[in-house]
Amino acid sequence: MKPIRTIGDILPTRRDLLRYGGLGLAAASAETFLPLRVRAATTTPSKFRPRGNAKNVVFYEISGAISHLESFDFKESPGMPKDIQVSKLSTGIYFPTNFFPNISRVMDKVAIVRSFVSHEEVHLRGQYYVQAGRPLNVAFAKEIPSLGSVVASELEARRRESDTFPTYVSFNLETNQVGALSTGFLPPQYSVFDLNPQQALKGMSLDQKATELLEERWRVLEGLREINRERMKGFGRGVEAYEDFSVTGKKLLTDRRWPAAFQISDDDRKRYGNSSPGISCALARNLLRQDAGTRYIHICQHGWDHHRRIWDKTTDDNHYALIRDFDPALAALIEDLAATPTKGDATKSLLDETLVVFMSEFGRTPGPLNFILGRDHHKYVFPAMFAGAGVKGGTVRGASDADGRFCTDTGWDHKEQPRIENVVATIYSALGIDWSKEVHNTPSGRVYPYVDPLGANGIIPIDELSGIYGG
Amino acid sequence: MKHLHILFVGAAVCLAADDKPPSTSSQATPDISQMPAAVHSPLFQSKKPTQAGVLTERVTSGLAKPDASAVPRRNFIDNHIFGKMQRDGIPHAPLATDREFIRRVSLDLTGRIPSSNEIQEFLDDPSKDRRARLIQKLIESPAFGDKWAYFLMDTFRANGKMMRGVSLFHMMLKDSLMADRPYNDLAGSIMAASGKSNYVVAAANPIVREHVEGKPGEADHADDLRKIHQMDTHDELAILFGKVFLGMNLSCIACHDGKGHLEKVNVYLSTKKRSDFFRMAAFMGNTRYIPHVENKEAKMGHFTVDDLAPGYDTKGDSMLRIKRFGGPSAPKFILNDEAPRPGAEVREELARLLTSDPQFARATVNMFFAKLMGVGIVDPYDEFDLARQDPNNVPNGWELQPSHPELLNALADDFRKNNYSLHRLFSVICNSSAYQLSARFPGEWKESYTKYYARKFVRMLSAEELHDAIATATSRPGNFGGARRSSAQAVANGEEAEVSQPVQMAMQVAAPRNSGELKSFMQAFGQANRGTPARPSQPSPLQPIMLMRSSVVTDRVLAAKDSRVQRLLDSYKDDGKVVDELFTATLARPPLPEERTLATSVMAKSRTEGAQNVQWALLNLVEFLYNF
Repeated sequence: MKPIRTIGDILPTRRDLLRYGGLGLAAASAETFLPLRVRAATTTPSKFRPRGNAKNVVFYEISGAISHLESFDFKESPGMPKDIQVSKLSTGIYFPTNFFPNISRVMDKVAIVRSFVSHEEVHLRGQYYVQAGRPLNVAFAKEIPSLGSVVASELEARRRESDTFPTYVSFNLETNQVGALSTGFLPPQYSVFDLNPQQALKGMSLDQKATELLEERWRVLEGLREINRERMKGFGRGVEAYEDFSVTGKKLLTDRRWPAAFQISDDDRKRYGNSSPGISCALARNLLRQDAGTRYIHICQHGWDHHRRIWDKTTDDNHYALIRDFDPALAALIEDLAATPTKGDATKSLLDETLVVFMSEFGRTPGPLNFILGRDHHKYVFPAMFAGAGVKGGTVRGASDADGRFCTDTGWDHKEQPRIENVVATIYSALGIDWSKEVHNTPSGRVYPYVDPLGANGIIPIDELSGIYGG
Repeated sequence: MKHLHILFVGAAVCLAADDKPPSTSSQATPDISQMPAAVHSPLFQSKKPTQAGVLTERVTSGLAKPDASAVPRRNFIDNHIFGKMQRDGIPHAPLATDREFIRRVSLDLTGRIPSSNEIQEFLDDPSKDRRARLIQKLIESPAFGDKWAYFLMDTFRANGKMMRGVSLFHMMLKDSLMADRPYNDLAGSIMAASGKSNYVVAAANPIVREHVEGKPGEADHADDLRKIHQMDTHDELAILFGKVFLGMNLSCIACHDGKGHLEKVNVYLSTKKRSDFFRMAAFMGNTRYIPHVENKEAKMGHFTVDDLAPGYDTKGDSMLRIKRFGGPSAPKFILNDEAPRPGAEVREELARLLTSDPQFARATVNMFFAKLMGVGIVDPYDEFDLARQDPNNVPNGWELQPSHPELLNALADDFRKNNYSLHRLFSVICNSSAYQLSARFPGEWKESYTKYYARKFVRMLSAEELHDAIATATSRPGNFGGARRSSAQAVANGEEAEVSQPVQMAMQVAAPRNSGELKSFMQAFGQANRGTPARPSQPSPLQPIMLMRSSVVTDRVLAAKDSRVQRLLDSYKDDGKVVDELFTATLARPPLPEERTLATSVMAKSRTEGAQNVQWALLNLVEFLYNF
């Protein structure tokens, strides 16, 4: 029987840790970082064989919830806007092509699963669910890491000597209700780099002059640090470790690949759209193209919560406006990833190595619009979309009823509808992570399973959605 | 007792022959408080077989059995803390120097770094009790109200869910803190608050904040109670009051019995049932949360709160939790099973029962003790396990929860006896030698020393403190809006145009509403958005990048817009003086000789850019980012 591995076994040596982030700052001298026991399915053989078909994941959170009825699970309804034009795509799917002209072009690469269900109807809980991969439990929330942080800790061993970029990057995560979740029981080095895309363009793209200035200032800083090195030692490990982070940060800023990733052309702005989601997607493409260590990118486009005047063009804020930003951004991202050959194998594209997932935290109420001309939250059935990493595009799995209200076909072998937990399993599998793992020795003592079968109301199957790969 | 302390330091000064005495002091007997830190350092690092090294060994090994006379025991806190260290043979740090102390206590009590004038005034104060006088001055300052009002706003997660009530609530908290309103009175007013509108009754805002929305859709009429899930809101309030006022996490038993779930988590709560929780929530059972309705739309943040509901329905459905299963619904206070007196207002009774329960005082003193000392006697401070508080009665397989059970009781007693005065509580804690220990620990630190408070724990500045420290150090205040001008009409009427000052410090803001670069900066440093469950403010690799590149810093280091760099360059021809002032304003200390040499040489190459770069470097030192 193999011994239980500790996080220490999975993590590289201290020397390697210094490559990115150092020891981390679990301590303000007051806490200790206990090595966590990760039980990696060693006592019973895991029934899961992770696919390992993806190097990267892009998760686009359509936050606030897009109306599935007028997008990826189109249904005629009394509330549908008059100007919507639905066409049958070459793949046989009915899709509002005039609303999504760009995404229509890439739908042959996208697999839709229309049978999702959520426990949650409330944004904060739903958005938490999407980011943490499990329902919010306020009793333990402090120690629960985001999915991206767990991925970062798992992929740490794969970071190369040359990797300087943070593994887990997000855009606009702080704009959703739940914000960017912490690393929970994991050390701080796996924390997300949450960026505001417009600010990042300004702050991260150092030109020659800015780089020189930074180097000059850094010399002064290093000089002062050297003078104080002995004196600062007496304050404990946490303070030392901060300086590790600082060194890593500077390395990142002066690694020419990082500022290069934050340059976008006028053509990019046109194709992706000069909006926040557009710039986020362009930057995501850049980060992946640099192949410098970023592997998990979470893009959040918030604001879809149109309880009122969802299809009213006279308001500033309606679904039309958000679709106008979303449509070119996501399409350009998928197209550009598909057009980028990978470094190793010219026949494969960056899209072949990247699993793209886009979904909301739930759907919107079907049928007629509500009393303020909007749609409200709907958890009983809603779709999630997948592309890249060998996903068989142009397919649909699962179905809802004529209204788009309830599920009529779960789209896989189980009678239960798939949930976010299954997206989590799919993501882990694609990255080659065995999702049957559990972490013991959390601060609360409660076991943290990588994928939680309990859900909010009972046991759910924790399979991945292998159907999206065809066959 | 003081004698030994001086000997401890003084000896090193005499015998560390390699070190020159600092140029700041020419007295025969060096004033320890003026010593730059470099003089102390050979004490802790030198292993060379010099006399200084030998003396260091002797002195530090002497610390292994802490001499009661080495650090004065100023109050009952010290008796407990140093007494325990003495009994268990735990070494401790020496007292912090005056310079370390003034910066630390200013940040801890008011969230601000001290100005050069304030530092000099303090160091020049000849009185023996100058630290006590400084503490008193800080507690009585408006910035004390700012910092602790902000803390309470974070605790109550005060945000847009209070709509316009958020500023009123903030103002009320600040006024209460500055007036040293008895904390039991403040807490009681929040629990029992009711009124036509939370825009008028400040204390009702936390209640409004916790509302759980009901079914979406039109409001039938102005009193449409279905827009709010009444039962779930009762539950949320029971959880809130349990957490904030009793330091207990009742959210688990809000869903299920403790038995079968909490045996490994919380022994006391594992004996409680969901029905006990219902009966605690039942104190809110008569309360109605009625949103104001405009154009058939309910305003989710503008409420009437009254007590005309029939009572808690233990069979009511839930939006957030497992269905309620029935059972007794008469209110019963969870800690002592007491019922409200017949005829009394039920929530007033909750206020009375809760604030008079010993756990209220214990949780409160522990929470503020944790904030000031870095770790609570019970930690985390909202996870009390009441079955593990008595040293003579600890359940099998468990440890006693409080590190200093008698001290916790003593603090709670003192708090009660002094009419729940927060000013007094803060004063007693900050005046203790335990609080005033240095963060630098001589010798090898062991994790097991943590529970003894053997040193002061360092902490990273909060996002708000950091912003304000940067603004103060560089003399470039922030702008958080809030400036009010007279209306054009008033001016037209001949009234004098009135302009009130805009809010310049992050700590003065009622609820953060930043955007753009400032928002990115504040969030990187852990600013709470008060919507989500509180997340631990943790370090991240993005933080040093922010300090290096964010305009929050880079804009302020420039010799422009009347910044400190600009003013110093204009006022002083002597680069050394500019450097001295930059260090004091930023780090609350003068430069070490080597630092001064380095900084002036940087300025010699290019005066303006050099000064800017020095200012930048100072803001990027870990010494600036942390409170020691």
